[in-house]
Amino acid sequence: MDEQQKQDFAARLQRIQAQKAEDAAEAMEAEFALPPPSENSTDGVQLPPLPPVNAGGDGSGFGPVRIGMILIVLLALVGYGAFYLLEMADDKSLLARPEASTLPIGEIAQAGDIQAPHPLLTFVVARDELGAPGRRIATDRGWEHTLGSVATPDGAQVQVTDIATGFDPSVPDEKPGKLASFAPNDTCTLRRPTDGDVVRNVRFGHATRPTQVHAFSDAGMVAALITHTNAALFNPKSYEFGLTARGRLNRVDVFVTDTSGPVYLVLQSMGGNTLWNVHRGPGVRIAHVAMIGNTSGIVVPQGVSFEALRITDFVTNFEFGSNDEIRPCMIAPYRLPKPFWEGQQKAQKGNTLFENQMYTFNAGHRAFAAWYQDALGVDPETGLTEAEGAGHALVGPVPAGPLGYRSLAGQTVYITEADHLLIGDDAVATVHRDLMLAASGGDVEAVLPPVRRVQP
Amino acid sequence: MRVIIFILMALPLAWFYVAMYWGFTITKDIAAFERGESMTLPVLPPIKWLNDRGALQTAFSTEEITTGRSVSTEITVPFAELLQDGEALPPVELKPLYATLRASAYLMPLCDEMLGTLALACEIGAFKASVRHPGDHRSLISRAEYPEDGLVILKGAIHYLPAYALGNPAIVPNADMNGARMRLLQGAQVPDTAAGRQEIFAEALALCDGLRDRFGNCVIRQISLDPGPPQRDDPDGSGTLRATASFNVLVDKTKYRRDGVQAALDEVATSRLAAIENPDDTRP
Repeated sequence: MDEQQKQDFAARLQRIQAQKAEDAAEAMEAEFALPPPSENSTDGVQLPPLPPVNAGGDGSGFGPVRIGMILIVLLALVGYGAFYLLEMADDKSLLARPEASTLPIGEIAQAGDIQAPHPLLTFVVARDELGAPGRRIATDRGWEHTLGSVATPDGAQVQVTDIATGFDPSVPDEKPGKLASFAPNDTCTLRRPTDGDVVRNVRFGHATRPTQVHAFSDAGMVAALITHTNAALFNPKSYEFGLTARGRLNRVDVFVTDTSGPVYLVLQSMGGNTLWNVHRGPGVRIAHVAMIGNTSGIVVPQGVSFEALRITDFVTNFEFGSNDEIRPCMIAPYRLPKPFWEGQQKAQKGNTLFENQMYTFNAGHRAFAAWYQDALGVDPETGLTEAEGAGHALVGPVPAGPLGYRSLAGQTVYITEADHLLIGDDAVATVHRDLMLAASGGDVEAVLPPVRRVQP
Repeated sequence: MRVIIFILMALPLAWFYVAMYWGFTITKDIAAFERGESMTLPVLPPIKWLNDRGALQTAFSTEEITTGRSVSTEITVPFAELLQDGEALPPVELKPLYATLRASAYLMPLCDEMLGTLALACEIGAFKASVRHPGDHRSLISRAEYPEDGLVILKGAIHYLPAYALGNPAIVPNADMNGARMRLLQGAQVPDTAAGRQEIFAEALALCDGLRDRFGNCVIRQISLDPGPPQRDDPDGSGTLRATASFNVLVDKTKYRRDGVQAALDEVATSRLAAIENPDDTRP
């Protein structure tokens, strides 16, 4: 590079720098210029027109986007401060943990209300909320019917009022007359259908309509009471406070209208405890009823024989893959996934969670179907009424004339044996209260002694 | 509009100067305090105090029993001892509930023993009672032959309000909660008696005193009393105890490493042992 080239280069550099400085000045002026651009000329050079003031986001002026961002940052800062203040307040309230003597136990006693029970003896018997009546809702595992909507063999939408008269949805869970327990079948063989019997089956994920009938074990009650005690002593705001053993039977009204032959009815529920309230249509003969579920209860027309299998007596492991194998006594009533199940649709779209779930259902159903075919001589998909959840089931066609609805009131419920079979939520609370008193030696106050202090 | 934007942007800037000044005053106050000048402590706490507020309060509250300070224990009782005179043995399934509801009678004596040098007040914290029977293999190590009616294994904690001085954590600049943990009495076993437990409490208090001398504050977060293995020469059959204690100290994190408190605790324990072995040695 000779001298001339160096000078040329330096001169060019100067020009570029000068131009840059000029551009920067122009840009700056343009940015803050409110008057029209014509008044802002420098050295007689006409500036390019200004961008619209509200352009925002293009690097010039405060557009709404930028102002919005600033506001968001400021709000976040204010929120951060507020969070700290709240946290500090919360700390205080947590620290002000009441002393043992001033726990709700004491407060209730001091309130002068003699009737109020000790918190350790206060129970809430859980009850599922019912959805809006008369609807069926698509779920991952098929239809969930709310009160009044009936599960049908062909999947048609039918209301209970189309089948029966006298059903009053506003009367919740009437109390049955009495409970009579019976032993479940301890082998997994069911009575074989005789020639001419028509095997019809109802298979639900669970029953949906709560009843006042409860069945639970001592072990279940003890587990609930220990959880309740810990909550009552140390965390009274917890949902575990007041916990009781879960044992409520949910009910299904079964309307049998099939007159094609003596009906051998197989009633199956995968989860929960189920009370089957069997109605017989005109001209219907019921040969036998077989129930498969956990605790099963039944109200049947007089003279109808029945038996029950308890799933947990034969199938104890519900881990992924554990029920794939075809084996004796695989009585867990898996349902075959249908294309309209949302879970099936999600699986087809590649959702791995539902692929696994549908795989389990398919494999479980294959194993169950093999047992069912072996035990009853028919395919479990024949004569099937199925749903994920329902409170009414139709077995057969919609009847020409309505049946008379028969509630549980005054009926005898036959129920598989359990440590405690009770009618009424009050009875459940009483049994829990009595056990608490017995187990504490009659004095629940002693369960949590008051704070001890150094004597002055 | 422009004015509003200017004010909004100026607010954080203003806050920056306020915070700077706040930090300056706190540093100045602490310097004065360290020089021993009489002064009133800053009303606003250091920033870290705000951050760890919950943990600090459960550790250093001098007014309330908190869950942050406890003595935990494991007690075994033959199930039959739980029953009153003439009371029938309940069915096996009900025994865990009986044990849970009657646990306090076996935990409260520990609370009473803590009152005095260790605690001003105490109460039962969370506990869990389980019942073992002969032939029950849920526990691999059986510390005792399970009686026919079952053995109750009770694990629980007593929360307490300290009777010892905690020091003043409010004056620690750049405060950081730091912990240390140690087997008490060099892992030795003491008889599972009131006297044995007092020995454990005294050791924990002495170690905490040593830490407080160095850092200005200390709290015994937990003393864990663990039943030792059965001894051949156990005269009265009371069994033995081993204990572990964990301590919390609020330290200036610009001055000490994360393991500084643990190192200090080890030193305190060593010098304490030396003092016990050579009582004539008067070196500090």
